[in-house]
Amino acid sequence: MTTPTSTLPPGPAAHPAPPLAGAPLSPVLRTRGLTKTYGSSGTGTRALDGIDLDVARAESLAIMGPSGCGKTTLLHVLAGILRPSTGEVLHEGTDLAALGDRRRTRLRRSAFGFVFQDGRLLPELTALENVILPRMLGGAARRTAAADARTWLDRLGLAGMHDRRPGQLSGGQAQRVAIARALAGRPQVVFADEPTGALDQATGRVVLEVLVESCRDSGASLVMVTHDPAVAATCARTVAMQDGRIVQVYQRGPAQGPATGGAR
Amino acid sequence: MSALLAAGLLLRRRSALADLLPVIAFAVSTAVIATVLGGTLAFAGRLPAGPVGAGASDEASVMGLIVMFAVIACVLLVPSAVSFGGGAARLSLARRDRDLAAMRLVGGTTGQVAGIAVLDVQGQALLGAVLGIGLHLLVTPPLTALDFGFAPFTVGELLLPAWAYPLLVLGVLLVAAASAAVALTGIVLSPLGVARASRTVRMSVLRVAVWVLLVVGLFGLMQLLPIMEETNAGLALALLVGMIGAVVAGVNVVGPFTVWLVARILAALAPWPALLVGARRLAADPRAGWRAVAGITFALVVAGLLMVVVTLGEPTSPAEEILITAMATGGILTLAIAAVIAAVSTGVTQAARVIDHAPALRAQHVAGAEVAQLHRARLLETAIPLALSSVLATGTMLLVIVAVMGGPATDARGALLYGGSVLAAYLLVLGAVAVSSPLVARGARGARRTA
Repeated sequence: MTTPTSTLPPGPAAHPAPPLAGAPLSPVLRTRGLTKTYGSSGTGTRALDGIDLDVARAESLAIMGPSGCGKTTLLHVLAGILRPSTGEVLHEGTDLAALGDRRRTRLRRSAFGFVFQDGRLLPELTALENVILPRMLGGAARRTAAADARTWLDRLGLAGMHDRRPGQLSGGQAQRVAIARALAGRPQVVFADEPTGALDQATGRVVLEVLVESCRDSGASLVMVTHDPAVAATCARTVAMQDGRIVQVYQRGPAQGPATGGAR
Repeated sequence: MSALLAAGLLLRRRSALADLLPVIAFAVSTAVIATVLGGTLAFAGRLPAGPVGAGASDEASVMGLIVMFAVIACVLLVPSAVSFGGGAARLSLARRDRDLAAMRLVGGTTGQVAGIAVLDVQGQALLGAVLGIGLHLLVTPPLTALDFGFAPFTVGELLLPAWAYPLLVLGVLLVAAASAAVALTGIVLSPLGVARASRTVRMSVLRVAVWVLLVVGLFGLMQLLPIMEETNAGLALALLVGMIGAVVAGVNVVGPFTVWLVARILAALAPWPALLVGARRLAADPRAGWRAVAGITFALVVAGLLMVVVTLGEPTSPAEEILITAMATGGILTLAIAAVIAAVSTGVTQAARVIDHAPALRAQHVAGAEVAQLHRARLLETAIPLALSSVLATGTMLLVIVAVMGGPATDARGALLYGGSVLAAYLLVLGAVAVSSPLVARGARGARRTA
């Protein structure tokens, strides 16, 4: 287990490229020819229109674009929440698009973590219970899960607030609980949808730093949807979307071999 | 964005059902009130005009007693139906959150928006009340077939006088408005959303104290009754009926407290995620948890009191035969009406809870909770109050019988009947949970659609 640094750097830190830059590292998620149409095929909206994208291990990736460009749909398809209309989503050789709801649910629980705009914490549960719930759903004993969860909450600056309910926390604190919940299960990929969208700018920046750092320190890939270029700039790579297609890819920091992710 | 699309779709889909639930609740509540009041008046109409002398008929000699039991049944049933109607008003409001916030956003003052909300509830109450009276008119003719041991009631006797129906509609509207107004206090209607006070719920021990006082009062009254009967028999009887009604109603005061206490203990110790979520949700809103089984509790108490009727034994005179037939039919009728209230209120409450929890269900499912696990949490959320309810109902019923009859009934048939009622209650509630299960899967997978 890597120990995250307790102090945070002053500004939003760019997520470094994975350690084996340039080496043919197998991606944790790979999509080919993804399309997603809402409604009936003739009259429906095409939210995704041929997406090829690789998510490398431990990389941080921002998906950017105006609202309605399909970025949240892409996140949901990558995370196995939605099934694509055509195309495949490979996770360790398994096509998520071909799995039933039950197996995708288990995969989300064991391999993925989620941080959403409004936190989506269960209001009736305490902060600690919110963090241990996904682990308990996965079959972990309450005691073990609680010990890990306490460590995570303390590390994210929530010592002494374990027994508060989400309604008794500030927006930034609640979002830290959501981050602790996403990471406590040691996921391979953390999916974040506008994680700072409901926060003021200063709080949002701090929460973003915590999110990016925590993912880097625990070796999880981060896939973040945002419409804000400043938020996207904290990630090592950004793909820009428009009308369901990837129109541009930016790479920050050391190059990581040929970046896949162009429009077809 | 898919999330928005999904939310919109979910809302549109659910609105048809969500709009229907309060109307059903108002309708059943109105129908029960009209039918029970009409029936009680029909019994009272059979009271002999003059004083009952030695030469009176068998029917006339026992009619006073029969009317008293009819009034007891009425006192037990009507408040339950009224509170069910009040629950319908709360239900109608709960689903208006987004509309209310939108109205505030475009410049409505809190007062205006609250006014609109209450009016909205009234609209559903009016529709429900009218439908309910129709239902009442529909079920009344079959009721004339019931055998009470004397000349059957006519439809005319069982119906309320014509002037009473507009009054009844007005009464339902008033109850709906009052419940909506009470539900709106403690809610912040802001342009950005409707927030319910997120303070931690605390249940006062006072609730237990109130109920204990009521039970002690009933026993005390029984001691005083022989003395009072000599001076004012009517008042004594009214007090007794009122006190029994208060003790039975008091179960709804002590019920939420026990749910809150037990849920907190279970949540702290829960080794399984479903129990953790179910218990925490109960602890956060014990009143709602209790509401889901309140109808059942009430029906169980009625079933228990019915035991007394079954154990009365064989009639020794024609008058006694009329009395026993009337009480048996009346008792079963009361139980049937209580069961209808229980079934409808349980079904409506269950469906409403799922609709209200759709966002939370969705969030849990995304984070990896399987639909089966969501079902288990919901089942526990109902099973905990249900278990407490059957214990409390049995206790209350025994207390009332001991107080009034001087000892517990020892008849095996009575115990068997009661056991059957408890079993039926469990089946009913679990059935209601099962019926609303497809809603859970739909809520959890809200955004999932096939291309």
